[in-house]
Amino acid sequence: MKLNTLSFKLLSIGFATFLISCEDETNQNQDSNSVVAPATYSFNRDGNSSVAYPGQSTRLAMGAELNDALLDFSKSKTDLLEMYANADANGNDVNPFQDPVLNTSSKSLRSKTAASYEYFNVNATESASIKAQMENWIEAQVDEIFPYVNQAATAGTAGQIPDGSVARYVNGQGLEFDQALGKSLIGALTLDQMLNHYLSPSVLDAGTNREDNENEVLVEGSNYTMMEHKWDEAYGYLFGGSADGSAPLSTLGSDDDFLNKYLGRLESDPDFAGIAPRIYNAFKLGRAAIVAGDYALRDTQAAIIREEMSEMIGVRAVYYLQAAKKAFNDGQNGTAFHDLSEAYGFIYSLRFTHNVATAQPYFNASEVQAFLGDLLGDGANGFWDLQASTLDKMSIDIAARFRFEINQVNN
Amino acid sequence: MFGMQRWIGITAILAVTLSCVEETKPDANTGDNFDRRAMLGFWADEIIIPAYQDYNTELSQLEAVYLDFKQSPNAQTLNNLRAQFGQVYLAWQSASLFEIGPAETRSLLNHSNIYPCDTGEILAAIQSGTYNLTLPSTFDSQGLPALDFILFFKTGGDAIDFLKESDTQAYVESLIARLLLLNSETLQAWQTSYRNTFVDNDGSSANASVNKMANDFIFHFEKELRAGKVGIPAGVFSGNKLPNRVEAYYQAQLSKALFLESLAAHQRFFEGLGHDSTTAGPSLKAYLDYLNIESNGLLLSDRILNQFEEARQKAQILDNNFAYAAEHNTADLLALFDALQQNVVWIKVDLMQALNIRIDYVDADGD
Repeated sequence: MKLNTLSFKLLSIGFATFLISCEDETNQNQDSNSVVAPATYSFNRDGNSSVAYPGQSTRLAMGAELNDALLDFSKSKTDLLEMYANADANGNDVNPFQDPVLNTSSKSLRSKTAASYEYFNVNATESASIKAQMENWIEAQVDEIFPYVNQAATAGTAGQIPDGSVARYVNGQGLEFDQALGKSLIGALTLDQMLNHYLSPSVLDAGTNREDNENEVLVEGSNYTMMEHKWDEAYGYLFGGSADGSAPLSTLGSDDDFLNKYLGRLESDPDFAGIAPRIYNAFKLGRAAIVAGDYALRDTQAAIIREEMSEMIGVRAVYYLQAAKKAFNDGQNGTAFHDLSEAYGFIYSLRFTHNVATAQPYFNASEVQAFLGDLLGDGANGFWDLQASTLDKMSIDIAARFRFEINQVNN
Repeated sequence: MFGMQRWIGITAILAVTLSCVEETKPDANTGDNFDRRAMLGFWADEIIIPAYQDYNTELSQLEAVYLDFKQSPNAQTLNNLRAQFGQVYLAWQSASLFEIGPAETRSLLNHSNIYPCDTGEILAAIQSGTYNLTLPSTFDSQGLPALDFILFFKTGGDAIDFLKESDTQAYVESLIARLLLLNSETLQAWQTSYRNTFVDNDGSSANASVNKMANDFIFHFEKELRAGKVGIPAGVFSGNKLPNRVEAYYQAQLSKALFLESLAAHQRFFEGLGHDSTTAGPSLKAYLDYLNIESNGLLLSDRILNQFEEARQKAQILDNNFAYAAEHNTADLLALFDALQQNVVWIKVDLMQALNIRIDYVDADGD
């Protein structure tokens, strides 16, 4: 069985290599060897930067405030929902954020949740249900957690439970809604926008983008072509919170609570080190390819980013499942529940990954729902009843579709 | 946001592969005949139980001195109270190392010494009179750091007035009673059944007492001694110095003494000296020497002992007040951190590999 999996992986890699080498030849025919990535993500036109992604930075900042507010027990349901939508229930403008700049923004987390062109353009039904799920967790946080924050959690009863020296706030099944939401938004918002929207040829090449790009027709009032900007917006979901956006790797892992943070976690693991520069270099080369009008090269770089970023979600999902198993072994229920709550969100995020070979997510929505059901399904009290065998089986099932092996995640 | 305190255990499927390549040594799992049982007995009878006894005695004395103050609150009784609190904090340094068995079950360390404390929460609890010290969210509003704050954040007559208020007294009494309860339960468990449970578990599996205690020892050295007392205030993890993160911040002139006491407790445990500093017995040092483990031509155990001394010397030149040192002699505090870090490497990597003990924790995920 393992041999089969391995063979399949080798075959896939071989196939991918084959594809890439074909692309290379095409590129050579187009003399694309002349395209060189700059040392940093800096691109200029007429002496001024042509890079911009303020919308992404804004949403990452909104997400940070929402994550904090979910554990501010003085917040109301309305407060939190307005932070998610940056509007009230009737769509009127509101000022839910502490940072006034965010309040003046017309952008919101909600509008870009499950909103990519490739996955949701003709899938409004699922998009709406994903948005509703996010709102559901926000409401549940207030309804099911807030009233019980001053009692100890027990099987079937919400409350607080120690994870090391800190308290975690869980529902009766041991799930932290704030973690479920925060980690699901990594997939449903940041990853989906990056991989399935801004890196999509459908978006990059929309309308007259190619012509405009070649003729350097700039977006009105800006210093960039539309295609350049779309690519930058993908970049912004990873590095939009970085102090130095052009050379962001030195602060990787501490620039947000979303993709940047967890890419940093992989990069600091010797088994995965190198993934961050690979992604960063692909972003640089792809952007340079757009400037040079080499769209095949651009798409090769997009494929690298799609594959590596998707891999990262799979690794983190398995990482937390295995961490939970260890914590249960040590009798640390609170630590296990926290790991599982993070795993829950990363598994939810699998639906937004992008398998280059199929142009589909590595796991579709119903597969993800089955995993989530299994995580809470070993008994009436969810995580309290969870079996190690369930965690191992799920880890194996998830890892099987990616390149990594479980023992790489464990150590 | 006390990063060092937050950690999750993650399976360490280990760097053992690396370790096994270079050295030829007896397999501690099967091959060596070191008397683990004797070592466990020495640890229990001469180090651990006496440390809890000592701490318990000081806590009881604190209770007595507090009652004196309550009866006649004045400058003298306040001084006595504060001085005795210092004795308690010093005694805790030895008891703190053994978060295993009954201490682990009770989260003794989390309930006794999570700092910095949450002063807002403490004052709110005093004012409202409603608090539940069994909840994990109150780790940072109880224990020694909370008492440190309450006893020292006001000075002179203001302190006496504050400590005379019935709301304050009710909270102080809860704090002392809780420290005493958790420690006396822990001590009692050791003195009755757990001592033998601990000694009987003398194998070499991941759950055996030697393996767990060695892990607890290096974890405590790394997180409490190196990071908590030195690295975090010096700004090693944040990039800027954080003087208000020192232990016993509200009487920070005690912070170096607490550090030195903790350093000595770690060293005694490593080299096999009883809590009384004189009784000798088997130890991790003896175990290393039994296996004749060398490191670059010196016994590894000597390197580790020399490094304890190196750290002690680096600490001696610092101000008694580590908050002051963090503020004004940051470089010297960082040098102390480096001296401790070298021993983390020798203990966590070299010693643990030599004894074929897996590290059973990794650094906090931080979220």
